[in-house]
Amino acid sequence: MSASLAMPAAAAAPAVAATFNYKVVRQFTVMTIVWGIVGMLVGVIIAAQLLWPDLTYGIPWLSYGRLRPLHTNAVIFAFGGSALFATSYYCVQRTCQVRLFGGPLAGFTFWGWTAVIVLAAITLPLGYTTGKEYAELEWPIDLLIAVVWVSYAIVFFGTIFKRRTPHIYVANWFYGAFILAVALLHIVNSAEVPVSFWPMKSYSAYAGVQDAMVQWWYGHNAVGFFLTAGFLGIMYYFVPKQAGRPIYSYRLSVVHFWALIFTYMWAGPHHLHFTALPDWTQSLGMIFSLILLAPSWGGMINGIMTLSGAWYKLRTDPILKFLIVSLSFYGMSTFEGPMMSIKTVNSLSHYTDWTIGHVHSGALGWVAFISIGSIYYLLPRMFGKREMWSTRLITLHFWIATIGVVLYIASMWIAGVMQGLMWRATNTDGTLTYAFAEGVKATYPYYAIRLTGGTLFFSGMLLMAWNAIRTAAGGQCADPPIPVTATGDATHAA
Amino acid sequence: MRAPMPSSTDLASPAATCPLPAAARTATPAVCYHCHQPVPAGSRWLDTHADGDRHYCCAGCQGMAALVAAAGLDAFYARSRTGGSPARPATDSAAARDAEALAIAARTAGAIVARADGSEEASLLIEGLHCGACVELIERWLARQPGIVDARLNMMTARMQVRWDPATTNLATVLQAVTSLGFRAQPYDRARREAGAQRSDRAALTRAAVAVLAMMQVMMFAVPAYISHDGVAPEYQALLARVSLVLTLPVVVYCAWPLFAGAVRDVRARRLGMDVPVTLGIAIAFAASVHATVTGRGALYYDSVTMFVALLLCARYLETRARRRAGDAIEAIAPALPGTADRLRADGSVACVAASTLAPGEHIRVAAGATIPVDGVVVAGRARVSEAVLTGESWPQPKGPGDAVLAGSLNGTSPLTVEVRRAGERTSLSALARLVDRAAAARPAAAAWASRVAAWFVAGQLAVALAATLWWWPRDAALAVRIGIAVLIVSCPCALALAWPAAIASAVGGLARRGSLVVRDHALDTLARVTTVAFDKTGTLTQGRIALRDVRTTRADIDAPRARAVAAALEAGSDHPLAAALRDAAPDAALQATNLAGVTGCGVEGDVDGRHYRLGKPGWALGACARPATATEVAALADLDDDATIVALADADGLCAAFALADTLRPSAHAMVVQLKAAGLRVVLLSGDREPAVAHVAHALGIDAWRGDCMPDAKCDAIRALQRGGDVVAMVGDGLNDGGALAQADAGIVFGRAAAATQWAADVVLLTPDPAAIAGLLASARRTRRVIRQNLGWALAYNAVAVPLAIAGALTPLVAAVGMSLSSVLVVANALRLLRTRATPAGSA
Amino acid sequence: MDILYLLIPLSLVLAVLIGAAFAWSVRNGQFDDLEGPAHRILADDDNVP
Repeated sequence: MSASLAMPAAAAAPAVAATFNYKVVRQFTVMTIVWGIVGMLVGVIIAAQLLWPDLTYGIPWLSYGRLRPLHTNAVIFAFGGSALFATSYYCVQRTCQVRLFGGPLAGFTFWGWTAVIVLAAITLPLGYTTGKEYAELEWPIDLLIAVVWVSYAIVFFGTIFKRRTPHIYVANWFYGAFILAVALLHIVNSAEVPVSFWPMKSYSAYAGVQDAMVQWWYGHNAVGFFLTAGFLGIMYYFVPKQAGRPIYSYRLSVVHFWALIFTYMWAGPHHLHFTALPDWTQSLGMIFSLILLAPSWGGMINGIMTLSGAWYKLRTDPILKFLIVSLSFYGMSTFEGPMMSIKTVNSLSHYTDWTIGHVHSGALGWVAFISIGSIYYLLPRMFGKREMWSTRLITLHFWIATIGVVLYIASMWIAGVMQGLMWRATNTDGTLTYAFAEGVKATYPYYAIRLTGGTLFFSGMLLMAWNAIRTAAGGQCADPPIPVTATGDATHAA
Repeated sequence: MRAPMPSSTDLASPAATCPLPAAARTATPAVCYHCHQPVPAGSRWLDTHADGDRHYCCAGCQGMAALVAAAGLDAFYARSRTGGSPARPATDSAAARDAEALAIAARTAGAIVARADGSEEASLLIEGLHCGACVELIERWLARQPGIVDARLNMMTARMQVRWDPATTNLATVLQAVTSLGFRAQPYDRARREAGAQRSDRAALTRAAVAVLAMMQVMMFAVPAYISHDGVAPEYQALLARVSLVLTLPVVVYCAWPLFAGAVRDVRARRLGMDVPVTLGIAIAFAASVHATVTGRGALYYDSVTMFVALLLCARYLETRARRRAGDAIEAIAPALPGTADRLRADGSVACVAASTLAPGEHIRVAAGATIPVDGVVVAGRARVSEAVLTGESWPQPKGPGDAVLAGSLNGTSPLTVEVRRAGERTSLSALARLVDRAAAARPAAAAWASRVAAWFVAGQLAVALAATLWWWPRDAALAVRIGIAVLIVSCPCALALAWPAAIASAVGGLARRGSLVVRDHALDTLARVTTVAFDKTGTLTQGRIALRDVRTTRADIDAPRARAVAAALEAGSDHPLAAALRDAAPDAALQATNLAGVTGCGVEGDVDGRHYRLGKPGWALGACARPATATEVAALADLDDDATIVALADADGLCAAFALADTLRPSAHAMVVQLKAAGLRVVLLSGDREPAVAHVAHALGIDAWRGDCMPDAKCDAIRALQRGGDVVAMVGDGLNDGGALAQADAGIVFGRAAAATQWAADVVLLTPDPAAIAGLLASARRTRRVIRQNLGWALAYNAVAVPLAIAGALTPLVAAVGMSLSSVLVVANALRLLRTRATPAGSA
Repeated sequence: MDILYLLIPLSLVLAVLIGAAFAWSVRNGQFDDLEGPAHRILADDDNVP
């Protein structure tokens, strides 16, 4: 008897007070919606500017060139980033059955990350930019990003380290790879020489083609690890949870992870086909892009097949609709991407709106859909509710968003192929058949369709915000206790 | 130095009423005499010897020490105390000591079985096996050792059955002989095998993964040179070459280590295996690449080397895992028998002892809910016992004094006292497991032939590689090296050396998982050729349980329920199957019969509620009434099915009721017959039952050829007649009255009575009472044959194309590496398909 | 393209780290059960009571 009493005594202190840290998850969840609205609004504005070039004429901080990086930063790092923070913090706590490591550090990552985004929203329209795509922010903000990101890594891996379950769930592997890779990419690519603090100015540590090489090594892997590995983490946790079924093949998901890790790092140079980059590095990028197709599709099939035998759930559950449709867009984009990295295809598609269509099939169809699905999963849990305020509103959101994406992608595909063909058309005497302006004129109607699609998608986000506000109203914001009967309680592996 | 033994925690509970020796109250020594583990304070297990008291940590150790002493091996303890081995020459004293300790431990744990012919047999676990060639090597090596009668190694489970003459050699020598080859051997012990398997599994996985990772990186640095239009600038080429070298080094040194070890082993035993050309190719290619990297001239083969090693290791990893899974499926049929038993002493006290030390005639107690550790006979107590693991019959059977119980059965309800008949390795369950093991270990003649051909194949390959290199050398030395490497790595004997055993192992494992145990090595081969399946009706197509099918009453004063109740009362004391069926038909009846008397061959008579009844054969039963049978009575009797057994209930007023009792068909029997016919097989029914009953079953199942009233000899003759007609016959029986027929048939399939099966000439034992398993079994055998043929066909075609191309210089080493490893993966993956459990095993071959 | 002298050794370092991570997970038994974890996350009921 004395022995059985002694045991809990040691574990009692943490066991009584142990709760999950839902606060930081809740903060990021809410900000995901806010930044989604902001980022997509900017997107709608710049799409409108392409249709009506005089829309904001004479206002420098609303000019296309300044808003465009704001749009990309806001949707990728603000909207997508917040979704990743929210879901990874949630997933790692639930699967490891411990509270987030590092106490106030988790809160710091929220305020730090939010500060980064606010600063971006101020400095980019003011025209402060390094000119490197997806890394436009100037050096003081870069430093802040580095500090926040290292804190994020400490919180996340600290939580993994003190986990109460011996196994590390596969979603955490994806999140972990995403965090480490982004840290490395950011630090290498943002190596720069500061010139002045205000006005902010720095020069890249690399020059010329070297800078281009590093930039696209970064740029591609930002897509690979930020927009793919991280969101696959979401997929591997939230699809099974929402479907109430285990992932189709856990073995495949582990293979998927390692295959992705083994191959991803070197596909970057395909962004630089037909540039000053040596021919062989371009070809290298192409080969690896093609190889990537295999693990990507493995993951997609794994996610979709999770529903095998329970397809009926798709009919009634709009959250699941978001999650599963996101996977089909993932499949499409990861097929389209390698195809576009083939040099002959690339010679047609490069610099056309096809690329824009490809990016948005990934960004809207995959990233935004799976984020939205997982946020709908989190929202009621964050506010002590059993479900969202209105399921029908989610269904409406789903259909509006889907129509929006389809309009967007289809118009850009057609416009892109048309542009590519017009640009390369030559007369028998070798002169170009079309002037550049003729291509722009032909594209004009498709820009109108694209604006329609984008506006639809944006209005879907407004529905989501309304639904979220009604769900949060009167909700409880308490941290739930960690279940004491967690599996593998005593078998922590250091 | 510690013996495998039941862990002390199992035994830590106080063993009932062990008398407490006075000496126990004195200070106890720190360690157990047997296992050297600390003895718990106040331990009461001790022996008093002339040289002082010996203390044990548990009853198991005490039992083992007694056995060691009985075997005259007491010196073991002296040696293990001093840490030396004075009896052995000091060649490899540590290994010798280990081997000796293991051998003694094996003997005490009951792992050594004495056979009728005076030889001894044991099961050994071999670690470090990685291909079919290793198996052959160990077997041959042991065959050369003096005193070893037979050694058969199961690739699937890494277990070896070894038999030796105790007069000439002993287990320690055998273990040492295996160790000297570079493998590790130890007496088989389930837990240790799993730990060992896990260790080598993990190492293999890490090796394969590191190789794949390195392959991806090296390919990345190699591909540019192949595909770019303007080549790679020399300074970057040098950088890429050096980085590739750094990445390839661990692949050659660490990942490919098992391949090199295999080749060295082969060479030492003066035989040729697959690993020899493979490692030669790797070594030469790597050396040439290093040379080119250092000098800056010549071709680089880093990509070929890494890809070759990576894909080859993947193929082997798949193969190893499949074999392990197949082995696990076989393991699963033999549940762990309890390590200890509660032995009843003469004075009624209970002692916890190691189960394997029990001797026939001793009595043990089996608690409710416990697994019975021995084969034996119940001497006291009544309980329902589940023999599901042995017979597939999940319904617990009632057991009482005099009933036989088998090791591995689960005592469901109340405690039993059991007299030991067989314990340890001699139980039916162990015997069955050994049979299956032996079958998996024995390579069918064809597979043995395949491994010999593979050796010749390799020899030819080496010769061709050498010849090609020499022939090209004067023309272009660099090209000659390239061609030599290409020939070495392009040809693929995998279909022979790797995929054939894998196919058989997978098939046996897949079948075991479905409850079909293949216990003879040639069984799969024969089953694939079977043209006719002969069934013994009893217990195979039917439930084997007679049930009441119909009741006819003829009088107003007694209705059907009443008739059933009276019959049940009259049969209360009988153990005849018909009686059981009648009892089951009226489970709620509370009538009591008095003055019961059984009349042999006729039935039973007695009084119920003051009336005298006869129950039994109609002719005899109607004798209870003085008058002759009326037309109504005759009609009632005749109206019943003519294939059923008719039992009549009569009293002084004539017939009360007529019961039709018959066996019921198994639910899936019909589907199985349809499947067999669809697969083009002839189905024959040979039964000792009455002709009408057999006809009824045959009609119900759609079997065209049947014979009833078949005596065992007639069954044999019928099968012989079929065989004379050119048919290959599989006989399916329950092994009770058709042993001769099972032996006469080309393949004997025993159904549902696994324990009994060990005595019969069975090739396959079906543990499930589902006839569908028979169709699945035959389909599986055919599929195995098909897969082996596909693999051989592929190997023939591939090598016929690839080798000449390589000789002609048309293949770069990279293409050769890709070709060989993909071919290897292909044949292995094809073989592994057999492990898959199919929901519908109907596949027509 | 001197940048390759940075990026290529960097990739080498990464490969070593990835290999080490994989070896650790094998040795730690992360791959011993590749079915159970999928079910285990579902056993964690995170619904609001």
